[in-house]
Amino acid sequence: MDREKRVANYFLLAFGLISIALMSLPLTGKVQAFRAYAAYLYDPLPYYGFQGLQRIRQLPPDVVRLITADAYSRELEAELKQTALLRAEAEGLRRENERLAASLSLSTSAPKALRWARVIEREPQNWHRALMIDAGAEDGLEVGSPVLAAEDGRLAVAGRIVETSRRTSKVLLLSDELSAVAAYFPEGQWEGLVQGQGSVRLKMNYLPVEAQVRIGDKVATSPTSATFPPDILIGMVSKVFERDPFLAFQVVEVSPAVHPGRLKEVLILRRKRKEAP
Amino acid sequence: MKPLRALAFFAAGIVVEWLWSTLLPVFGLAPRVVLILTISAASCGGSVAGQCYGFFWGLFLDVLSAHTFGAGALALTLVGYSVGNLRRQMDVSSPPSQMMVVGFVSVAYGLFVGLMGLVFERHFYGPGWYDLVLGTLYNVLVAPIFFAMTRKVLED
Repeated sequence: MDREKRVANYFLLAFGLISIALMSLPLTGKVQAFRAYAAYLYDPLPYYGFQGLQRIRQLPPDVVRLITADAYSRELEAELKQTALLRAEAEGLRRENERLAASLSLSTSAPKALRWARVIEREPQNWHRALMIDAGAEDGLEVGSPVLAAEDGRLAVAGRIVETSRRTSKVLLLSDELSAVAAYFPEGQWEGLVQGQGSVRLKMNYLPVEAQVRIGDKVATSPTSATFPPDILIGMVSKVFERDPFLAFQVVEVSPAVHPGRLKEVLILRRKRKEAP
Repeated sequence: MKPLRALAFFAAGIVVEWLWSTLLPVFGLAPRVVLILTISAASCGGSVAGQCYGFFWGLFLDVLSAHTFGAGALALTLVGYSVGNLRRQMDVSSPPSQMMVVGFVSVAYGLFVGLMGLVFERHFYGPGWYDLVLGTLYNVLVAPIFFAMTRKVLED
């Protein structure tokens, strides 16, 4: 018997014995361990093969997406150019408006710049009254700056800044008893004053007795407000109090459009610095 | 360099087996690539090489299979041993003879794995008639390609 045949017989014996042991003792720990080890050695090939395959398969859709994105980007670029033109027109109109208002001695609202800030702290005992935000005097915030918040995709009044430090500010929420904002019903034009009560609900005072108010009516900031721009949503009427014969006005309860307890980010309107002429 | 080439050949066998059975099955049929490669490796490199490739490729098939762990390894080891020992007695240089060997071994392999299931798990896990006939036919048709490739890799 030549050497190669002898070696082949030994291999056959070894591999055959291993195979038979694997088949006949499938539930023993050693066979299970061997099986697991074999799977560990062999699995990467199909696994990484599949991953690579998926990447190759994903390539055509990715290229299509890239081309679509490029076309979309070109459209947006063209739109942006138009926007720049519109902005220049608007700026011209604003300046013209300022000149005309100045010549008629009318005061105009100063242009506002926007600044988003995150709520960084709240005092548990004053949960509905005040909060701290991560923007301060360095960011151009001033005491009295109006603070808005977004909920369900719409902006609404949240409060105003009462203290500023370099990098943080304190916001007095509209629900605080010391807060008040001139408000009106955009549909009926009735004016009043929305005040906080230290809880989630607000109160709207000084409504004319003849005002027809219904539950669900929208309440917005009045054009007469010294702090807030007009027509910013405050909330909805949630209760109409019975008329007090001793009062010369009527009172309604307002449910705020943004829940003071859920505020995470706020938008501050700050005065735009005047550009040098 | 030779061990590296052998290792690459072994890995390539697994990848091609997996790719073909995953991506290119025709009516659910794919050739048993590692079986054909074991035959071709044994016919080119002898029974020791055939057994080594066969045993480890068989283990790969066993890992994928849910039954009779070790049957594939034993079956391909036997294929490697038999073809390696008989390679001097038969001509496997021409495609028709390669096809004949592959056809015969494919049927024997299918029946052997089924028989192992019957012995060790009391259930015949062999191929059905459809797989046995058409699968063997598929193996036979692609066999010359793998023989040529194996020869190129192992004999260079």
